[in-house]
Amino acid sequence: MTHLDTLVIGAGFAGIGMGIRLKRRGTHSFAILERAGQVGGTWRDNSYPGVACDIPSHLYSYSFRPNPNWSQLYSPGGEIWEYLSTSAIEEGLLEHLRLGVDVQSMDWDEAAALWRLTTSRGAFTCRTLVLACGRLSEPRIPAVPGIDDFRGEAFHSARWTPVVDLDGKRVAVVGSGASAVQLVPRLAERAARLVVLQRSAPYVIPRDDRAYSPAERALLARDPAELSRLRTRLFWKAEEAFAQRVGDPASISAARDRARVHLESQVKHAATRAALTPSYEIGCKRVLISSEYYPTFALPHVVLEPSALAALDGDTVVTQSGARHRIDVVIFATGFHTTQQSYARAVTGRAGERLSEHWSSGMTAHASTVVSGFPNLFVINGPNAGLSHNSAIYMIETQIDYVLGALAYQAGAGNPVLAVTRAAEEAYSRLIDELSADAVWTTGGCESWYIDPRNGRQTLLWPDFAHTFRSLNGEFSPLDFEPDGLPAVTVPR
Amino acid sequence: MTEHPWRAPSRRPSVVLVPGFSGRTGEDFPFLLPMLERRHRVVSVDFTTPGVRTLGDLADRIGVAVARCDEPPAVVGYSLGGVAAAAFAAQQPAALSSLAVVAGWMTPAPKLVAFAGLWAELQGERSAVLAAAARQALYSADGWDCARVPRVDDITTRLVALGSTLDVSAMTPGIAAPTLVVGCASDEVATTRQSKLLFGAIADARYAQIDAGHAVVHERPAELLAVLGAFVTEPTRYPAGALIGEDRP
Repeated sequence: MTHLDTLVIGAGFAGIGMGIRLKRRGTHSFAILERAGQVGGTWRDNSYPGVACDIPSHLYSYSFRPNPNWSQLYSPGGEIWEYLSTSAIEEGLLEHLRLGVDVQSMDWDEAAALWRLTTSRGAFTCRTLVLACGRLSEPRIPAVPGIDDFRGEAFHSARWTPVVDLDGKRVAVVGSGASAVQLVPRLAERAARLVVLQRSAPYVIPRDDRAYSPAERALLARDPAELSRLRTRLFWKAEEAFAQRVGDPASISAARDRARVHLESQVKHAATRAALTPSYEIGCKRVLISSEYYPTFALPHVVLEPSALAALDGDTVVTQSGARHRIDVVIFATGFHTTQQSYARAVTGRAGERLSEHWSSGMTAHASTVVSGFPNLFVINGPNAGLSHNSAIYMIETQIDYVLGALAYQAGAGNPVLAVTRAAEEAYSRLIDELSADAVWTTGGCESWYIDPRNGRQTLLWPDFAHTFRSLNGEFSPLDFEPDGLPAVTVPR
Repeated sequence: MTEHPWRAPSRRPSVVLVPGFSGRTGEDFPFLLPMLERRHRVVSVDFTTPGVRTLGDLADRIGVAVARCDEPPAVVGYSLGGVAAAAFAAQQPAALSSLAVVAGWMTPAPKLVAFAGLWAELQGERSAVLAAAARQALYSADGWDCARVPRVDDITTRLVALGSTLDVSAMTPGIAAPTLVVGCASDEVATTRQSKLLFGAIADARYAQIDAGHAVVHERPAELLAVLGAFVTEPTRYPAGALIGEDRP
């Protein structure tokens, strides 16, 4: 049995960031448990050809670890993974990392006021539990007939299998989302035949990427204030895009026009262009950025099937429209389980309530971070903490600030158990619903991974500007918590 | 510890929005107006009517908009509109709950007078380069990628000329409302110094600075929204005399 003050589950951007901030505060009694053999989260899992970030790198990095050496405006995934690994090493986190530890259960012990964890490497206890398990961690593969008997190779884009030979092969990509858009142009360079199955056409806008020159990089290294100015500028530029999400007609039509002009300039073939034209409002699903995706469909060996996958039949991919293609390798770029996170099934709070039960009609948390009935627990990247217009790292850092504020409050108040009230969680959920009401995710006429199909609520995204998330949730407030840390007494009627 | 303003709808005052040289809120606040409207009732001031010839006329137009609000509103003015809002706040201190002056001035800086002189001269010649010359002056180098061609018409020409005569230095002692002065670091028209002078002169003022030219409403609209949104919901969060540091995202 190992006891630590704080356990962090997951060593991606959120977990490493949490660890760095704890370490820099002089905290030593903490560990980061990671089921994989390496740190890196999304950027470890997604190693497919062409993987890159859609947020400028100087923004998609820790504010407290600026990196003057980003190669590109939008750096490749490998570079981001290296940044995270280097950050973990240079900040002294190696002694706090427990890699290859699969957490099986996390149970709140009310009497001892501790979390008890069972893992593949033994038992742990801690006072404070931080779930930093990611949002896009569990690959989602469509359950179609014949999938287990497929004769060729089949895998998810986030479980890239480099040993599979793609050169000269017949390859099918299922999906046309953010991963597919990056992957398809690279696959077209290698496959003899490439079939892309598109259930619904995405909006794609130009990727105005460019390399930073040696002079620019040296300047940013020599003058940190310049790097800070650049980051600030990128942040506020990204914030402007939120106007497109909340029904501002001028912003929406400008964004739609940009995507339409991009499509029309890159796709000349009328039928292909029609098939690539989205049928819903821009922003309802994630807006993709690529200058290479559309031109791929002009290549003679690339086929666009504007239909969902229906079945795999021996060596053949069958679409819902009835098309059949003999295929050697199927790549599922079909996204992730988002509205129902698997970690929630492993967490048991007060009175034996599982987090998955608490979230049975959709994820909720006060301040997007704390859940009633789950004391001394913090969820980073959990309910309504994502963005579709700005950097996830800004949100993660805001949540880390909240956690550190909570820990500082506890330290100064005699270590009370922190149990957020149900009323606070419900009030916050009402705020989320109010803010989401006029947003395009709920009004745009699409099916997206932001919406929980069980109740139709938008449970993934913070439905406002990023800066308002920080203004509302960046500081911990004990007002939202049970005064004595105990569960509220229910008065019988 | 107080509740966050978002949880107290009463702390979402009406906003009277006062445009700059264009005379139209739709032109000067294409981002700010719809985004403020998500949380506040916004009443637009319009300076396009021919009768607007003096600082008093500008202030009167603001008074008409303020009178349409149930409670004393927040008055947010940009450029010439900011100066007019300051004049209004001095004349009718009880009529508003707070005042924000963005890229305004206390007295016309020599460079503003020169800008207005150049505008008048080029417009007198019906010169095609007026819009380009004005754009050079209004936008900073860093904001050039979002530089729009400013509207050139009789209204703008009249308001630029009027703007270069506006002087509120005698009025600032009468401004009692909690005030936010927003200066722009690269403002070569109104000049940053003039914003700072307003900050110095207005008793209950705090100061924020944005890394933009005079056209801050187009260069950094989201940052301006963040600064203004926080101020109008909680005007005295920062005490009088505070220099509000720039956000470090």
